[in-house]
Amino acid sequence: MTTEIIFSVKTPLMQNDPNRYHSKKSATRSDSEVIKLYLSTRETAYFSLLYSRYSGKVFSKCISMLKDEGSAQDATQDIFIKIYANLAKFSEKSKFSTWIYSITYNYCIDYLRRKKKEKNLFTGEMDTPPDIIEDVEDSELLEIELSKLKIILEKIPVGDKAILMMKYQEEMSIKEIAEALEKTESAIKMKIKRAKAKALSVYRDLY
Amino acid sequence: MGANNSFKQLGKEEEERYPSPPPETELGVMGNVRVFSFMSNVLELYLPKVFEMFVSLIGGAPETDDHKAPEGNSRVDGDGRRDS
Repeated sequence: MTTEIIFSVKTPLMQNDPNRYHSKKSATRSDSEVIKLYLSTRETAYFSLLYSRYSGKVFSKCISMLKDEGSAQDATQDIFIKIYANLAKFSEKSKFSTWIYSITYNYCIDYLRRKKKEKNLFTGEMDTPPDIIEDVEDSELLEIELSKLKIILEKIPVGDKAILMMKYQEEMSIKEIAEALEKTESAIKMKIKRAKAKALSVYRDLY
Repeated sequence: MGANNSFKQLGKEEEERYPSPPPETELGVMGNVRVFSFMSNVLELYLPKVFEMFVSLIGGAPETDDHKAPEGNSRVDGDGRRDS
């Protein structure tokens, strides 16, 4: 009851049209417009609109990474709370979707790292020293049959899977991936190279 | 990235298979958001008052119209007369 009173005082627009975030006008607003409106009014309905736009995508990525629906639900909830807490820091250097997906992958990698108690979820330097990593063309990887790609992505380390998905599914730049995983750009380039080589070697072993 | 991108196809397929999380997830997220929002509103509304109360407790006086410092360089002496 108290919250309702405060919200009605702080957000007079809400009284005019409580469901306006479902209206046609709001539906056509860009993400950055919705974020600006949310930050200026602090109206939760605008955050709800962002949730309705991205929750499905975040949830499906969490299931793909965590392989468990219950954990994916919890992860989706935590990720959106993280997004809410950091929304003011979103600087529009990248697309909002890219920013959300980088939080999602980062969260999933951290979650699996904690769960498996492993420090490194990527193909390590000991597995493939830099001088013998095969240079794999992007097209070789992108044209692998969908059913085979699913199997390959299950066989490679989860960090490699995440980095390949960021690069080829979300089309994130090296810089964006580096910022998301808090690594240098050269480290990311090396990780992508190793992940591609690992994926292709699994493909060759299986097919 | 060319038209043949199995990664994109995989993403689309997964989104179709899991179109949205269950409603409890939204309830959980929006519940937390409302609590945080409420707490920040409370802080925004009442923190200045708490600060003023703290100032008065340690012996200071909150700045009111009667106690405002005079404009310019002039000072007020003990009898309330302005010394310019």
